[in-house]
Order: sequence, then C-alpha cells, then structure tokens
Amino acid sequence: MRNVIKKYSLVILIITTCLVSQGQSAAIKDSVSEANQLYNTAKYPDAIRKYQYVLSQGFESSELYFNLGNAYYKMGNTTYSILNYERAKKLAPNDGDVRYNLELARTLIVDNVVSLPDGGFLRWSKQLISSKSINFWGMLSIATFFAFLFLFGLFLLSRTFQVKRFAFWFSIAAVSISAITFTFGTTMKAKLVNHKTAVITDRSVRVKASPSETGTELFIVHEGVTVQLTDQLGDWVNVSLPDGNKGWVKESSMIRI
Amino acid sequence: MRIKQLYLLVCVLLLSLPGFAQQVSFTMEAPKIVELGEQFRLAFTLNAKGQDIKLPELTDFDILMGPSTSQSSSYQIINGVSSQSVSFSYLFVLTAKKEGRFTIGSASINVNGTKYTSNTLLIEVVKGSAKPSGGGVDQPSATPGSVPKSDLFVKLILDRKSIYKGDHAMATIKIYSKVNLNGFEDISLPNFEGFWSQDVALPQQISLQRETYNGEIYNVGTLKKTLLFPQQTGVITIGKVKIDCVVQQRVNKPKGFFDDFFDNFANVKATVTSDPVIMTVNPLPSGPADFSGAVGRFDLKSSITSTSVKENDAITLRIDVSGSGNIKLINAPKLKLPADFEVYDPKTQSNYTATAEGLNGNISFEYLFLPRFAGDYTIPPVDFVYFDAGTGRYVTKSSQEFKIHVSKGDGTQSSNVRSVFAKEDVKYLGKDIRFIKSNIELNPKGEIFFGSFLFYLIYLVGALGLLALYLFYQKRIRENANVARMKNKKASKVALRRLKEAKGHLASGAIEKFYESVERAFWGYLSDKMTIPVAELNKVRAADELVNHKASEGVVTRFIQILDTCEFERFAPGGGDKKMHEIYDEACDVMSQMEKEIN
Repeated sequence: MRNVIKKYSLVILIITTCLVSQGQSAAIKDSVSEANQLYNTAKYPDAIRKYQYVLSQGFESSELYFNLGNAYYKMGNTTYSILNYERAKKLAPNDGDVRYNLELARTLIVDNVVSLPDGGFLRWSKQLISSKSINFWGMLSIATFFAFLFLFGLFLLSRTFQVKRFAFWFSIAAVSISAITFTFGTTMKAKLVNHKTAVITDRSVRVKASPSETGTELFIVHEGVTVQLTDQLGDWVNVSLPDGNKGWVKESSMIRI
Repeated sequence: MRIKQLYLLVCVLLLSLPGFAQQVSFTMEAPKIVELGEQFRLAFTLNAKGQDIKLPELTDFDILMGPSTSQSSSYQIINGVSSQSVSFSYLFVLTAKKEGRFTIGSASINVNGTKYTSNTLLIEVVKGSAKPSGGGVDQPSATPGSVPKSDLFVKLILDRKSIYKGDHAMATIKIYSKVNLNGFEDISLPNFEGFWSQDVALPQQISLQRETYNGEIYNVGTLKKTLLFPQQTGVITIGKVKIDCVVQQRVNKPKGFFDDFFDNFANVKATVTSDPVIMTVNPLPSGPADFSGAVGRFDLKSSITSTSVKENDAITLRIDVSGSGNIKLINAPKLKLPADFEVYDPKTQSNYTATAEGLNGNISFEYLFLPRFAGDYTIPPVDFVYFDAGTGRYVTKSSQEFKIHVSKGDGTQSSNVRSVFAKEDVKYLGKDIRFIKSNIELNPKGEIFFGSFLFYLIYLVGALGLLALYLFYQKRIRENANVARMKNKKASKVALRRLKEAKGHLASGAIEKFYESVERAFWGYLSDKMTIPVAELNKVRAADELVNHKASEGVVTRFIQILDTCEFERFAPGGGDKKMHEIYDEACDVMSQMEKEIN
C-alpha cells in the first residue's frame, strides 16, 4: 500500500514539473520565435539580444545556442559564434548542423590547431558516448534497469527451471547495459556540469609555463581557440590545447563553455 | 562605304529627277576673319540659273568690285542614266570699314520666279598688321632661308587641362602661318603615352582658315584632332609636335635686267616645334563595386530573344549601351544567371565615332546561354555603372528583369544532350553556415534529467518495487505452506470425523449416505494430505500420488478396493449391514495404515 502511494506521488511530481515548465516557456517561446524572425530579416544584433534574454530567463537548449552562434557568425564575431556552437554541441553532441557550422567558424580563426588523434578504443568510446544525448543514456539506463528488475523478479519467483535460467542470464545482460549507459551518462554529465572547456576570447594570449606574470612565455594563442582546463590556481588556469600543448593562462582571457 | 553612300545618293537623286527639279541651293561664303582695310571675297554659289541677285545691306563694308559671274556645268552618265548639274557663282570684293564683329544678312536670288535666300555669315574684322596686306607681295625676310618664329609655328591645343581618369580631352594640332606654305615634308606627332587615343576623322586635304592669334591673322590649318582618354592619374606631359614645312619665299637677289619683271621665289625648309603640354588627370572618386571604368553619359537597353524555351535551347540577352564617353573601354557588365545555365562569353560589338563629346555611339553585349533544366528562372537586372564627369557622380542604370520559362525538351534531342551531361557533381555556389533552427525545445538551464533526484528516485522505486513484490510473494508462499501443513495435520482428524459420520449412518441404516461418507472421507483425506484439490482427484491420480508419497502396494490396492466397493454398493446396494460393517472396519484400518506410511 505504501508502495502505491509512493508511485502515485512520483507521477504527480513528474506531471507538475512538466506543467510548470510548460507554463513558463509559453511566453519565452514567443521571444524565441521573435528572435528567429529578427535573424531572418538580417537584424542580427537584435536577434542576439533576444536570444540572450531567453538564456537569461534560465532556459537553454542546443538549438538556442546554435541560433545565437549563427547570429554572431553573421555579425562577424567568430569567437562568440564558436563559443555558442560549442555550447550547443555540448548539449547535442551528435547534431550535424552544429558540427558543420562549428567547423566552418573554426576555419575563420587565426590559429590552426590540429587536434591530436585519440587512440582507437578511446576515440570509439568517445564517439559512442557523444552519439546520443545525455537523457537518451539516462532513459536507456532506466529502461534496461527495469528490464533487469523484471527478469530478476522472474528468476526469483518462477518455479520452472528453464525460465529461471533464461531470466538469470538476461537479467545480468540487462543490468550490465544499464550500468554501462549509466556510466556514459555520468561522463557526459561531468562534462556538462564541470565546464572544463573554454574558448579564448582575448585577441591574443601569451601562454606561460607557470601561473604568474613572470612565467616563461611558451606560445601564443589567438581568440576562438577551444581549450581544455585541467587545473586552477587562483586567477590562473592550466589549459591544454587540442594539439597537446599545455600552459597557464589567466582565466579572464577566456569564457567557459 | 563612301562609294556606296554616293551611289545611293545618286540613285535617290535620279529617282527624284523626273518628278521634281533639282533642289536649289544658294550659299554665301567669305573668310571668317579679315583685317581692317583688307580686300576679301564674298562669293555666292547657286546650282541653278538665277537672276536678280539682291545683296544684303552692307553698312560696315565697302563693295569694291562685283558682281562678277562665272558658270560651270557638268554632265554625267552613270549606268546609262544621264544627269546634268550647273553651278553659277557671283563674286564680290569687299573691304571692311571698321573693327568688330559683323553679321552679313542673307542675300536673295530669283530662280524661275521663286525667291531663294542664302545663309548668313559672321565676319570678324581685326586691326590690320603693320605689313601691307594683299597684293601677294611679301616683305623680303631679313635672312633668307629662315622663317621667323612669329610667322610660322605649330601648337598642340588641349580643350581641357584637368580631367578625371577615363574622361576625354580633345587634342588639336594646328599650324599657324603668315607665310606661303607649300607643303609638309615630315610630321612627327607625340605618341600620347598614358592615354588611349582615338583620332577624329578630318578631311584629307588640309585647308587653311583664317584665325586670329594674339590679335593677328594667321592662316591656320588643323593637322590632327585626337581624343585622349587618360589611363593613369597624375600629371602627364604630352610631347612635342615637330613638322618640317616647305615655305615659298622670295629671294633677294641682285636684280638683273630680266629680274625686274619677275620675282624670285625659292622653296625654303622650315622646322617648327610645339611646346610640350601638361595635363592633370584626377583619380575617380571611390565608386560602387559594379563600376568597371565607363566614364561619360550612357543609356542602357536590354532585350531578350525568347522568354519561353525548351531545355538546351539557346537564349540571347542583348544589352545595348549608347551614349558618349569612353565607349571603347566599357567592359561587359556581369550577368548573374541561375547556376545551372550554360553561359558563353559575351559577344561585344561597338559602333562609334570620335567627336568632341567623346566617342559617340553604342556598344552592345550579347550573352548567349542555354538553360539546361526545365523550370522557371529569373534573370536579375544587370547593373551598369558609369561615372558622369560632368556632375562628378556615379550613375547606375539597370536593365529590366527577365523571367524565363523553360519547358521539358522533347525526347530525342534532350536525351542526346543528356547523355553528355548525364552525371555531374553538385555545384557549390557558396559556403555559408547552416540556417538557424526553428524547432526549439527549451529546457530549464542546468536541469538535466540524468543524475537528478527524480532520475535516482526511479531506480529506487523500481528496486523497492521488486523487493516488495518479492517479500510479498515470499510471505504468500510461507502462508500457503502453513495452510498445507495444517491441512496435513488435520487430515486424519477430519477423516476420522467423516468416518464417525459414516458410523452414524451405519447405525441408522442409511446405506447410500454411509458409502458416500466413506468415499468423502478418503477423498478429503488425500486432498488435504497431498495438497491436491478434490476436484482433480480420481482413482488413477490418487493411486499415483499414493505411490509417490511412498504408500505400500497393499495399502493402495486395499484403498482402491474400498472405493470400488463403495461405488458399487452406492448404486447397487445388496451387501446389507454386514458388508457395511466390513467396509467400515476395512476403511478405518486402511486410513490408519495410510497415516502411518504417508508423510
């Protein structure tokens, strides 16, 4: 009986969250379509303002960042278009349009940073993880977990030997898939939450060997380059370029994705 | 060309001959500039026989002589058609009375009763030079064999000294002379470096005209007129003109006896050189992107051969630019055609004459193209930009827009052509970012379903659900097991009770009920003992189950025996009391035996 109450309260919780968010987004949706209209009529600065407004209201989506990136691109602001494409890519890693525009925008920046190729399995797993959205992995994990529960229940409660054997092995398979997809989700979540990547926004930045102004200058990067943040010390962050170069940069010269 | 025109003219004249008399023309001629006191000729020409010539009022001139009349006639046969022309001239000799500019009004003459009037003339009378004029007697020059510079010189005259690049200026080379020019031996012209030049057509024969220069009258010959289009900016110096002239000069020789009667003349070579001329060329102001160098004043017209064609049919779009300016230097304006049209290079044709206003005429561009696929296309207007040097502004003229309907070609031809173009790569017209997405799903920021409380709750609920279900089942199983055990325990008691019931029936002599009770006692007992519903029990099943539960063979046979007897006695009673007692005892015995053997 308690279980039943719990289940109902869960359903109610889900429904109310949905309803609340839908009510809020009705007005915001109008702003979005207005912004798209402005973009269509080539009023890019106004479109950017509208998209920013929607973001400031606490909403986001891959498409929204994508459109904002497009507007910046049309304004000639490559750096900010890259930043927003990266944000869109983060939310929808497998979106072809986002990837295409990001590639195109990257051709316009000063630095030609060639990314190091990943090893076979790493690349394959990265591709696999980024091939679907985080919520897809979440839902798949939940679905396979429930399949596992069903099969395990069958294993426990069935009296027929054949059924028991079948249920046992399949339940193990299901729980493995659930665990793997859960790991995928966690990996992506870590990427989303930790903001460990950034886009350089200063025209040109001298990357130092140590986190201080007096550090040896290692190399120069220009705006628009995407870097990985590996460490932080006060104002300074340790950045790692796609080509493997590392060094310390002031955090004020970049924007985290 | 000229011969053709002449021929045409003659033909026209001949055709008009029978109907009308030849057009009568009556013209007046006189030098434009005369010196005060100089005698000059006023000549009238008439191409018909006329009479009664009436001169205009000549208050500012004195008529010294005239009219002297002369007549000439010509007769010619062309292609068997004869024509005749006559010319009468009337000559007056006048002299001006004072300086200034005077207009000589029109004279009139009577030809066959019709009065014709001549043109009017403007004559400028300037102050006479010290030299005695007329009479053909020249003062002998101070040094024979040389001509003073003031008497013979050449000038290169630019009509404008400061122009825009691409605009034009007229350079005129004139020779000024007071001496008797006999001819030119060698003319070397500057090579107009930095300009694109176009000569203006002049009559072959250089005719000298009177002009004043620095208040003196010279015989002036125009040697050359050239339109100059500067091709670079800055200060450009045009080089010298050098002419070797042959001058007839009277030679001062000791006069012999015969010489008194004849003047001695000698041809003297004189070289004249002009001063270099400087021109300033200003750069054009920055203009629109479509500007391709046209300077002047132009008009644009466009036409198309067809707007509705089949696939692979040729269409010609023609753009005519007419006006004046640097026509020769106009580039074909860019035609923006739909992408999969096959386009050929435009054919350019120009037709112009050089005049003081620049090159006057038109230039046409013919664009030939083939639409390759059916559909409706739009050819956008062609923008032609030129610089108007007069206003200093850029002007854009646009042609009209054309809409073309291309219908599917008919089988044979198009399939032939198709085979050539069967496969083609996708043409990339430009590279741009992909368009924005209109279908936007908004999510609250930072709220990801994965890893949220709800997400984990679902796992928890599922796991708890299974646990609860499991426990529930376990409990049920336990309970069920208890019931079975109870039933097992109670089985013999129940059976004994039922046998007691049978004993009751035995006492009362209710035969049928007795046997029924015995049967029920056994069935109920087995059902409880082996947890099998009564309905599922029959003799065979019961026997099997008993064997399974390790009952001995003898007990099973006896049990079957009892059941058989009971069934038999119930439906065909005949055993009487004795039989009933036997069965009862037997049943009690078997029951207790079973109780012992079955667990």
